[in-house]
Amino acid sequence: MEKRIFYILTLLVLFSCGEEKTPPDDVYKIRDIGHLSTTEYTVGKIIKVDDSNYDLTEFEWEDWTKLPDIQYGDRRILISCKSKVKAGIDLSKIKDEDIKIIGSTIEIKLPPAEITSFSMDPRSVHTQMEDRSGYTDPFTEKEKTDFLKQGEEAIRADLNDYGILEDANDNAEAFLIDFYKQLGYKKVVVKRSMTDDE
Amino acid sequence: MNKETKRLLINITVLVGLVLAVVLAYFYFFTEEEDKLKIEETGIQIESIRTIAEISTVSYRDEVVMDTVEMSDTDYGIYDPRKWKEWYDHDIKRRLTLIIKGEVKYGFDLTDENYSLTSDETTITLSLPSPKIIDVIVSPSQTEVFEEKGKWDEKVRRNMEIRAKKQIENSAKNLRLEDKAKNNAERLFEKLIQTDKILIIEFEDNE
Repeated sequence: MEKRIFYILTLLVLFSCGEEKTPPDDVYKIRDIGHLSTTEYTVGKIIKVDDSNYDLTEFEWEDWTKLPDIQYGDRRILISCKSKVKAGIDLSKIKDEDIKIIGSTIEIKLPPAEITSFSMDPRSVHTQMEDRSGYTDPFTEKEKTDFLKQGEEAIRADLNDYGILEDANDNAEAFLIDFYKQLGYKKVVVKRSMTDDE
Repeated sequence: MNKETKRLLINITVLVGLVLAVVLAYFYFFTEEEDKLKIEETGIQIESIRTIAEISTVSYRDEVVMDTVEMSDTDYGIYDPRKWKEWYDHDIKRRLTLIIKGEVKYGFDLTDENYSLTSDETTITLSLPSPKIIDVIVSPSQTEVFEEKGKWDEKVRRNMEIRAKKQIENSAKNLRLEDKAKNNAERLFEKLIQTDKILIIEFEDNE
């Protein structure tokens, strides 16, 4: 009897270590969207990484805590990449009450502009320089992918400073004014929503 | 409490203690986040800015796995300790496996007023071009290096990514999403053109 209890408890302890896996929900999905992209930026960037942690020649015993960071050699890499970024507005976010028609005047309230697509063609990614010294390992593909991910984040952040969303808003406004004028409206009033950055 | 029960309790305690020690050791040694290398701050170069008018009405997301394997030669090298690892890896010398997520957007390119809008007293007619693929999006943030064994040339990786992009595009084409793109466009423009008149939306024939 005791032996049976022992085996059951052992099995319970072992099986309780299992990890539950849930499938990702964004795979193979067809979605209805309504993006109006109004501006396209082609952006180039040089991604620079210098992996020289600590110069052994400059080592002083007061810095003994940095000893584990010392690696016997340096690694440096330069990767060039090019991205195509589109921005515009999500027309599906416009509600019925956002459009008001009074005689020959139409008033439309637009949702805030957003990045509608960001793509980096693999053909445009090139390692321009890779250098290592001492006993260091070459950069792995995992590391290079991580640098490109950081590069993507940097491009997205920089583009906001260059006013891509403002351009997208201006162009969306121009497109809709032209569109509604063709419909016969004499006056088109476009109201913009503020983005979080504004 | 007899002697056997006492021994059983000791055994259980020791076993639970061992399992706990292994779990704690695992979390301590293997789940610590690696120090990631940070890229240096460099500016961006804006090569071109284009005014466009593209309406995307359908998005298709897919994920593909690209795997490249190089098997070791038939020389098992029993006396070469450097090759012992290859036995363990079932003769795999090098391997690169990428998981690439991508998105294909279908819609209408209305750039340069590539549409027409006419109206009379009873009808509004909107003529749109035929739907097409507007974007095939792959980006580093959607790419994962799942397995990497050995040193790989950049060209190999680039070719894998190009093939993955093409594969995602072909999968979208096979689903024939043009009709769905048209239906969604009709719904979208019906909402934008709030009218009492009859609204006719026609699409250019791409045959």
